[in-house]
Amino acid sequence: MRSEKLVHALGEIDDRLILEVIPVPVRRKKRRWQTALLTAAMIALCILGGLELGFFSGVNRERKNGIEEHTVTQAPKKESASSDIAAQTPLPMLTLGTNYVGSGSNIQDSNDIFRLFLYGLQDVETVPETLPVYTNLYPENEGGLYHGWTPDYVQMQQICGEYAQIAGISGEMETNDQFVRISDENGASITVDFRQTVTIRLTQSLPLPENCSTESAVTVEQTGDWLLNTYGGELGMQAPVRVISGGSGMDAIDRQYEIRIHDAGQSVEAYLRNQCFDHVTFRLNQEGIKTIIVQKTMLGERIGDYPIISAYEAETLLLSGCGLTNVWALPEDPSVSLMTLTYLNMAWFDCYMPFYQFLVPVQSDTNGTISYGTFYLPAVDPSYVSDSRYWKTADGVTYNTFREKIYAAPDPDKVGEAAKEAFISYFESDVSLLASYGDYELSFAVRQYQGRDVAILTCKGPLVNGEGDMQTFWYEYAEQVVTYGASGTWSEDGPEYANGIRNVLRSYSAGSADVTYDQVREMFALYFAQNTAELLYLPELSASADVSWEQVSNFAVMCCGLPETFSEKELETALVPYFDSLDYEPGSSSVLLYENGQFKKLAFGVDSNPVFYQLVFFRDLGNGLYEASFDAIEFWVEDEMNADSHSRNWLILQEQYPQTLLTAENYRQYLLDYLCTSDNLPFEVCGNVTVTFRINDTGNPLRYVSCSRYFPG
Amino acid sequence: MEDERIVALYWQRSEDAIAETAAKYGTYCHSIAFGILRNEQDAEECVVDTWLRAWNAIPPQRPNRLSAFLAKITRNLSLDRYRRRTAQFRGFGQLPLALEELEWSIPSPGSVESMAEAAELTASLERFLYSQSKEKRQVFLLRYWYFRTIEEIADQQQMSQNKVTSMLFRMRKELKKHLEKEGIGV
Repeated sequence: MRSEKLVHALGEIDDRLILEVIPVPVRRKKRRWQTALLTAAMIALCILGGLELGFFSGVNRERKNGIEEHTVTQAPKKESASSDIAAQTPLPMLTLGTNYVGSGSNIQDSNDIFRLFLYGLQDVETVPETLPVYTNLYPENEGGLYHGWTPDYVQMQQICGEYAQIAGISGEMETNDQFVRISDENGASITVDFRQTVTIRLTQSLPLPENCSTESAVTVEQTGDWLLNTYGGELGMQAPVRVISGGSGMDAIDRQYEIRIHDAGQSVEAYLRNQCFDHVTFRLNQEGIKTIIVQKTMLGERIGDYPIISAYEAETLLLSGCGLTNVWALPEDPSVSLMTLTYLNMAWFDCYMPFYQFLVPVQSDTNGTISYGTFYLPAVDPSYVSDSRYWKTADGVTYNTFREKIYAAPDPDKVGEAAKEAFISYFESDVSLLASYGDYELSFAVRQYQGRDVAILTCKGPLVNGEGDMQTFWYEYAEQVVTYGASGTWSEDGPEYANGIRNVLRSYSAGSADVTYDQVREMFALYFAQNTAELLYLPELSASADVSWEQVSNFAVMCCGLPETFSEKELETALVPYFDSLDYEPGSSSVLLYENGQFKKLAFGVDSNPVFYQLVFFRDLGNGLYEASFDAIEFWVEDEMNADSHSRNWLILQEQYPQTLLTAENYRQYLLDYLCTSDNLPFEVCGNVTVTFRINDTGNPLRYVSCSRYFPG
Repeated sequence: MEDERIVALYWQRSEDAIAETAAKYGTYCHSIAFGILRNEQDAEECVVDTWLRAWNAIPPQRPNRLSAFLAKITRNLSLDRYRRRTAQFRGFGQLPLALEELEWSIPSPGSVESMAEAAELTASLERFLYSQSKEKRQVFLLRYWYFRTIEEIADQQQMSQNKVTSMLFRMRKELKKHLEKEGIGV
């Protein structure tokens, strides 16, 4: 239809035109069942929040028992000074753990600090001298993998089912690694995560009274009061109180708040514990309340009662450059705008310890908008925290953050885009070609720049527009610009390369201008060994630089149970169900690991492709380290109309390369030649298909090709 | 959160990117999808697909205007979904009406043979729209970019439905002339 082409062409018009008018949401007629569901969900919330169901009573009892019955490690006397406590009580040293990837950035924008709220004890002048630290029963590693425990899926399903039944939400129960969920066709859902936190998503927002909204701090507090008065008494709490968090955004449309109701308890300790681990939270936005969270995190062993530094000490430490954050950096002249004391209920910590949290203005614009970064500082006396790497170093120059970003003073002359442009301009003719595949060029260089060691990885080449609508070729320059010791304001840290390159720079480039590829390679081995592959051992598959057919055969024998001799067809039929059995979730990717004679799946980052395969082979270097990504071949196939097309990739590859040696090179060549240049699709297509693939091989670890192509249906 | 930071989260491969995107643009994208599909569930699914598509696209892309970037994805996904749905069930929603209206603007039979021609057509449309008053542009876009009903446009723009209808009628005629003048055969 010709007019359709017009519609499509119109779809690609200038962004400014599109944004010149924003349609108001279409008003939908309210349906009676939605109101009924809303009521049911709220009733469910009230009933379940009141601990009247066995499973929550059990959870609660168990947790309380855990707290009460466990011997407190020689709780210090309240009147003792911190130093005396340290001398008298052999409290174990605490660690924060090592997994911080994925913590995300925590910035709040506002032109009015009084509209921003933080959870926690607001009156930090009244913090107790000691507070308990508990072990985390549900630790996760950086890939979101459960670390040393298994989720209780049966109980998760039971909780989910009971909530859904009472709320009148019917649908199939979905269970995956992370959660159990029942959703109905209208969008209402009950989700129970591995910590048995229940999230209720309502179809229609809970309407608010007239004086309740996100408009101002006053109206938000009024909303909190209304929720407390309306539902607080139904939640089974002796003395319910409310606390508010959030408020980022310049207008009421953007702003979101959380209003948490918890039991005040009889002490500061109980107050904080309930607020962080045992509460009902209402998420508030302009439309009202659409999400309700019931959290009852079981706490582990009460490790001990640890001395707490004062708010003054904490602020002094923060302003001198100590602390944890995932925002860019502490500004040159930092100040604290808001400060509370709280427990950080984050899965990647080994233990739950109290933290001071701060809002620090880190940036402002001409419109008066100030960006506040959230910074954290363990409230436990630093002499009990062994992760010294998270603290300011002795030379007082750098400190690490969740994402291990290294901060230093920004370039005084050029910052932001100007610095980036200057940098790129400086190196434009001076990067060495790393690899060239057709139209793609990848280059890598490490040079001294303005007194710093800087690594740059560039990728130039046509990339198909990810939207898949137009084959618009465009050039991405300096796709990966990585800096070491430079201001975080303009560095682009590719999630994998950045850390690796930093490592090699740490090892090799002090005072040196160049880094050899061998060094980069060694760095990757070190990097993966230290961060990912501690438990890996796969000597059978990694005896040479390329993955041989024999190695693939071994793989098939070991993990698919094939006999030692088998046909390609048998391999195909064995591999496909094997990969299918790995229970891939849309939205996750996986790495296969070999441990104690078994292949295991390790969730590794998150990806949104419905199908994602990654094979990584590890080689034992014999010194306790393992060379990883020895020959890694990843397949990403996204085909909404042909969801099982991934299995065909294996078939195709075997057809194309029946010879005994499967190398990275012929895989790459095959993929490039066949998938990206041929119009003959390798599998049946009913609609639009985007094929994305990436190839890594540590023969030259920085080779990286990522390419999408739109195949018209 | 500012768009720049949301995009940075995508580049860091932080899941927070999607959460922040959904929080900030969920309503907007849903509005686009619902305007086309007029079905709550389909619209929700398109919005979720939008987040996935954005996650796949960033990196390598670094959109200058995240809102428009997301809007285009949502629109395209919604149109695709609409087409699939109407393969079984025709005559639903605003799209067929809007398409029918636009047929009037097409000067002569022909075909868009290449993407280059499609790009040329887009550029021509932009020139046409920029030559219009802001009010007319907005009405046109609400109808043919966002697929809003005449009633909805009238409500939003505080106009009578009659005014919207006649404004669109005149603009379609003008568009036809404009495309003829620029030698574009659709």
